[in-house]
Amino acid sequence: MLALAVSVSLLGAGLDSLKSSGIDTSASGLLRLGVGKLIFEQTLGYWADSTDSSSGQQIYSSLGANILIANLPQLIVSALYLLYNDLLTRLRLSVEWASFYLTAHPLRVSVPQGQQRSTGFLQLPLWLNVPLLAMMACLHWAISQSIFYALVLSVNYSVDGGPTDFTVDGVGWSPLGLIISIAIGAALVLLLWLVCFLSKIPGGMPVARSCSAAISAACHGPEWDEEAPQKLLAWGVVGRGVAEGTQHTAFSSGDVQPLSEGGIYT
Amino acid sequence: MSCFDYVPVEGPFVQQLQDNATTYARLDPETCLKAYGSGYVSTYANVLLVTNNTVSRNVLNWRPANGGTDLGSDTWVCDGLGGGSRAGCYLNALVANAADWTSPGYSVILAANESCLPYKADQMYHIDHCLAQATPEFCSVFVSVPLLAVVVACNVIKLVCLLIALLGLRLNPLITVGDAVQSFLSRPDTTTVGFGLLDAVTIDRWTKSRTRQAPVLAGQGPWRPQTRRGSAAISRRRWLWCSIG
Repeated sequence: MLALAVSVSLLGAGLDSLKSSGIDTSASGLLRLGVGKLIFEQTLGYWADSTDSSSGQQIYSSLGANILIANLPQLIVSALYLLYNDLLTRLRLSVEWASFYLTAHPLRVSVPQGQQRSTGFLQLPLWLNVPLLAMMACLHWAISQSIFYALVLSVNYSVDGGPTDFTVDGVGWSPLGLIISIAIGAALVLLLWLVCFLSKIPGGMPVARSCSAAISAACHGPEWDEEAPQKLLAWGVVGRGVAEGTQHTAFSSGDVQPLSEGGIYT
Repeated sequence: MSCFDYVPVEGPFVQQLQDNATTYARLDPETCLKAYGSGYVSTYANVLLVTNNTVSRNVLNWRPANGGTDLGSDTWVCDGLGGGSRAGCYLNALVANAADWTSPGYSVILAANESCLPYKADQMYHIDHCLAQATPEFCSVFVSVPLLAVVVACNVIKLVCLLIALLGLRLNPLITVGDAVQSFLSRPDTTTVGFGLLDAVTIDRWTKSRTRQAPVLAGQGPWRPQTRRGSAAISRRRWLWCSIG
């Protein structure tokens, strides 16, 4: 949200500045400016003459700073990808956990033995990961067309059509590119919220998230069930509890009974 | 004698432009405005504006734009609007009225004593068409060796990390929930015995409480079968971070 807000305010400021330079900021005007193209008088960063006037050598003193400025948004978006991947991973992890309630199926582990399944994927299934990656790729591309490093070589066509007579470099930006980036970014955040709020975690098991204490609490199976991890497992009532009048819940390869509402389980 | 003779460089240059005019591309006013009004001009170089007004001289005006801040500046297409500044210079409006495009010229420059007078604002000339010098495409690839080296080094490090993760997995790692369940079933955690319904929120609350007193009833409360939203899988603090980002 912060990234989007900053982008929108930058776009607003940029459009104001375009307008004050007399550039057409209507929809058709912005389309004409296109993406990834340098608009004269509309540059950011350290815009410098890169030619050493004494030797005529190109020195690009501003290259490093300008490349950093132009690519900073890419770094931020990469960090956001990790954040979103983490969010969806936690969601799928809880869904996988809850799926064990009364339903026997194999454990999904890194090194499978017995009836266990191998991981195949870490946590995110393809139907979630592919769209996420695709949108991220589009966002990275759109940003590369919104804020970019630019090097301008002038070609002198005066009398003899002589060589380049000066070079400048800096950071260019494109309003259309920025609008596309903001649209993709907003769609991404919206989809993420939709996935998180509309998807359901089946009831039954306590939500353990990735908390090891909560996971371990569900892993006190019946004593006879030593080979349980290699077999098909389900979670539910497995027998009498430690306290009077309670029942015990755990993972087991044997029969598990449903829990009853209001019951006390240990 | 042409009045441009008094400028040693540009005088012959303008003459040369006129001499080469036959090789230039003929653009109608609309195409010409679009080509020269769009920021950096990369497909055309010099341009001659040809008027269909009756004129006394063959060169009415010239404007150098080679180098410095003038490069790529498209203000000259707005010269007909007066002032030549960008304020009020809207290319779309110019293009829409391309048939009425005018540009200032100087009808009288040569003084009686054959010396040239300083420029003065003068009348507007209607532009019939442009003669533009098409430029060959100029492509080159720039490679910054230090930056390339950094990129290569980063990728090598990444590759090494991937290989270590792929080949070095001799120990049983805890990657999935299944790994954790297997581990806890094989070696039960004695501290959580008797907390059959312990959930992450309870643990979170307990570890954050000052007394850290064991929650006697936590995880042993009455059971409710409730389907939860996906967002229940994520802690509030994490939601906050994600939403801020």
